Amino acid sequence: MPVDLNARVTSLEKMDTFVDMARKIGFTGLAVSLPLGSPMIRTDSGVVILARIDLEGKKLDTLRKQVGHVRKQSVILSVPMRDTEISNWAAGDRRVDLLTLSEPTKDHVIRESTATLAAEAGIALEIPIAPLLASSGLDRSKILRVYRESVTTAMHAGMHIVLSSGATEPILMRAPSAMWFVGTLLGMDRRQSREAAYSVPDQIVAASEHKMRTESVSPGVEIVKEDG
Amino acid sequence: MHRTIRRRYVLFHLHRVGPPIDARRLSTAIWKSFLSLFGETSVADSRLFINDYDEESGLGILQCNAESVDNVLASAALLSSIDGTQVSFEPEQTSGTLKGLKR
Repeated sequence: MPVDLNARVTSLEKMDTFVDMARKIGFTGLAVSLPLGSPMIRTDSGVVILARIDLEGKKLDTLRKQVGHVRKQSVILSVPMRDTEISNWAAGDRRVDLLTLSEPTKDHVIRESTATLAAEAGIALEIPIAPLLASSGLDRSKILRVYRESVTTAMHAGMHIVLSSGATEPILMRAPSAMWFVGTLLGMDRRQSREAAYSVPDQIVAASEHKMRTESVSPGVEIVKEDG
Repeated sequence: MHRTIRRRYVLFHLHRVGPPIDARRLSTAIWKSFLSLFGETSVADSRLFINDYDEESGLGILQCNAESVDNVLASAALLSSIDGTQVSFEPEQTSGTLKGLKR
């Protein structure tokens, strides 16, 4: 079931147009960074809207405090990769779902050590394709370098990769069948790219639902309740 | 010695916001994107051609050689606008024959 994990819907008024586009191009789910009142909403068209939170703080202590609070409010919890210390912390915290290459123009690639930690914690590398649509020529080649280098590092470490749109307008969304081929441009083979566009996002949603249901005390530690 | 060229036919849907795009302009836009991403020799080898296209519905069929199909579709997927019309290219089905595409 294809899910776009990163639609940058700016207001609730625009939600219907995003949902309509998602349905047209073959998505069954859409993760948005808006307060929805519920982590998951099923629309009449059958498309499921998922709550997504991007941890935006600059200080590690602030982010650590935020993560426990917001985990149960969102199906997708992402940490944008802007700082090595924050990326390394996030890569080891199983409550986080995605490490996002949010600023490829600033040359932020994923490091081997970060990718190894993330692979062990089951955290995926998210690659939004919006920056590739908004650029051309030399600017796009710089973004491609960051993405291709990061994909190679992530795959070498055994980290999962997710392709998402990062779209700020519905027309900037790309069908999963289109993202599949963008993935091949980033250095993935056909199988890996297909997984990044189709199955990995779905697996992340399923794993995240589990994280939300269980009582997570600290990274990797859950309270298991007995029946009866 | 004559070498048989294996072709691929792709059924696609061009979603748009704005006026319709005709086949020639769509074809040129894909060629330009392909040229920018993969260079002149790749374009020369691709044998990219739009077979059939309805500019109102956005449904069409393109053909190219089998070795180039991934690159052609990546180039088309990265198109964001054509002459001011915003577009989103969706490959729906790929086949080795025209008959193989269910329409």
